[in-house]
Amino acid sequence: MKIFLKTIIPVIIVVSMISCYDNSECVTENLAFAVVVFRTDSQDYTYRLPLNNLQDTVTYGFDSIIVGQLSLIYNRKQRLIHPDCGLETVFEIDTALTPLSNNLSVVDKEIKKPISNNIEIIL
Amino acid sequence: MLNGLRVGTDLNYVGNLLFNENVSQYEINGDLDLNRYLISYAYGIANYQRIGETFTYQTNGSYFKAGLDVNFINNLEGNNAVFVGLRYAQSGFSASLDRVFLNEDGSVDQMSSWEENDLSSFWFEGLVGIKVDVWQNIHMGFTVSNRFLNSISGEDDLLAYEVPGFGHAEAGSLWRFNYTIQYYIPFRKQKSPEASTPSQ
Repeated sequence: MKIFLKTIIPVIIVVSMISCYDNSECVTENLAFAVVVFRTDSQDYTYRLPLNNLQDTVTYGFDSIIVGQLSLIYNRKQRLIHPDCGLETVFEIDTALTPLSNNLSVVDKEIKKPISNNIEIIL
Repeated sequence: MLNGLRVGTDLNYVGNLLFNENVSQYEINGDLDLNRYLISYAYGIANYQRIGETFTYQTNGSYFKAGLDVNFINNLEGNNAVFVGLRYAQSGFSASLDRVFLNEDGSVDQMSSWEENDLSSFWFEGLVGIKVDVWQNIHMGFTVSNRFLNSISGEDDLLAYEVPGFGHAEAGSLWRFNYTIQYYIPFRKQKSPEASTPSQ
């Protein structure tokens, strides 16, 4: 038993070191737009919000379907993807404000990587 | 029945100290040998530094692990162990990031820093392993463990990349090999092959 164990330890160590070699690849998403879905009583509306000029609090105009303004208050979070891949900024919508409807909700507020999926904000 | 105490360290981290200048981790670990059961412990401190072209990300912290192992060869010769076990682990750590934002022409646009000082995490580990007396109470062995249910709290503007003692912060579960070298302090006379062999 003892000889068997003494023999197998180095073998296991070498095999496991080879199998643990870090060969992860950089997977990045270079999103130009944030996709935000708004739900009313009758319909969902999907909007693509440009990320390049996103400020801490911004106001977007709706199209002809809903006339009004939408204000987004969100957090920026720094995330290290991988030392070889670099960083990305994660945008997480904290609050969405609109004067239009009490029944409007943000169904999908994920902009970059998911932090919290499908959290509805009842306005 | 208290047989002895193992005190040692993890060879992975010794290797990192020697060959990886961006990782320094120290761990003391071992177990209290209760014959069939081993009360296991580990305490460690870690500093991880990840450097890229436009950033330096650092993680500093400590962790502890405690749990119980069941030794399946406690009645055989020596104080060797082939065991399965479960651990609870917890870590308190900080993370900081210095980042440079570049313009399209490669010039520096701005430099920013983030820091999170009150990060904490807990998780569980299920493991199997062996420990063998290789020479004069020097025990070597390895464990294969699955770390799971990692929960992190305290994140604000900077997301944790690594958790001391756990690994990649965003992983829900991780498989790990660990190699240990420990000194066995016997509290009782060591079991011998003759003692476990029926007399003629």
